[in-house]
Amino acid sequence: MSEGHHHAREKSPSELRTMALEALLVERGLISTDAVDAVVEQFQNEIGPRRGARMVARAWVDPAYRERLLADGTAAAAEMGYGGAQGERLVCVANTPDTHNAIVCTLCSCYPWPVLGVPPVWYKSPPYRARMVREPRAVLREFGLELPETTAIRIWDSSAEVRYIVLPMRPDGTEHLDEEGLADLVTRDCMIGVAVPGVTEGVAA
Amino acid sequence: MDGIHDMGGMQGFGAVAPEPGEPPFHERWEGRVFGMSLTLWATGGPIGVMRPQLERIETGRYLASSYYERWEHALEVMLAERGVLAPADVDRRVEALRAGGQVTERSDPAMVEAVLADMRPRPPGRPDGGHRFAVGQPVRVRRISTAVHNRCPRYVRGVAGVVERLLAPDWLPENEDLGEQRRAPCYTVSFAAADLWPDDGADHTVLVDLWETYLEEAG
Repeated sequence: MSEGHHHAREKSPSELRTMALEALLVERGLISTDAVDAVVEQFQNEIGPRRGARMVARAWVDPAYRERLLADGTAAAAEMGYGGAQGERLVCVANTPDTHNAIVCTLCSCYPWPVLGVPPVWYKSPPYRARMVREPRAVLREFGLELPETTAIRIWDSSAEVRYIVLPMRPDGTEHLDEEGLADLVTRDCMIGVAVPGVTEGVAA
Repeated sequence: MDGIHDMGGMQGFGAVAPEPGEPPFHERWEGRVFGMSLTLWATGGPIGVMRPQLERIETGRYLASSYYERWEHALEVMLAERGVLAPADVDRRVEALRAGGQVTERSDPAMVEAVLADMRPRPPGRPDGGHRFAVGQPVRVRRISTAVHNRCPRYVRGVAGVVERLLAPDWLPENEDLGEQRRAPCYTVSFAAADLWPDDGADHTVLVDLWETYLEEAG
């Protein structure tokens, strides 16, 4: 590294304290560098909303899988090889023509890590945590999702140990798509319930 | 604890602000905080349940901090409580890093395997059972008041709902805070928005997962 780059960026207090913690914990033998690397690598490359999207797509093409998914989300995820921390009790709630579901954690930021990855900042933010239980129609409208007045809205506050995922409805005109093609339609936001496939783009992820 | 973390139904926070194409971690250190925490949990390291620590962060600081800043702070507090390292140890190492020091590195394949195992499916937990209330039964949330950690949101306290689903017994949050372990049955309870916020004119349903100790018969 050249002299010029050496002081190019001042490290933030959080960055420095994190580095200090890591150094101290490694020296005390409590963590290893490669274990921390492995967690980060998994959540950057393996564990993310593509997993949930594959489960949704399978449920769309395979009625028996759909039944198993709604009966026992944990077992249906395990069938696909997904599970572990924050997915020990997975419950899948299905949208219907009359009912729309969405998930929130008002007390912290509980989220089904094994099937959706780590939550986006907005999911963890005070506006979403405060408002989603009280004025979901207004929040959904801000995401570009305007639901008919007659649609019943059900908001799941994950305040105990269950983690929720929404099974959206399969959009019309997708009969020609295979499972992978269908999974492409299922964004993270569709499985949180702030978007529906093929109607709003939601936030890419 | 009736803290700022208990945000359900509060007003005045403004609009939700989604970020298109958001990465899992915005900065490298965020991933390191997350990775250190999961490694310590997966290996039975000297930390405990993080939520009580997050909730004890002073209100102004809580709101001014990012999610991973709160995690980093909670890690330091938990490690200090268990005598593993003092905040002064972290301060000194920060100064050493500023002076050009490096983060020590170490490899441990067994630890890597432990964290990866924690991200794989597990055998099913204990079967359901021992529930006092039945599906469809009206229940009212007790107006609990306690300074210790709990998972009973303020916005449902004192409000009547209906048992929607029986959930497996789970560790009582209060006891986690007190360093004890005891399970109690859990429930998904369905509340009408009109009962939660009668003047709002809203018609949706909110489903909240609650321990049996938070509930009493309604009627």
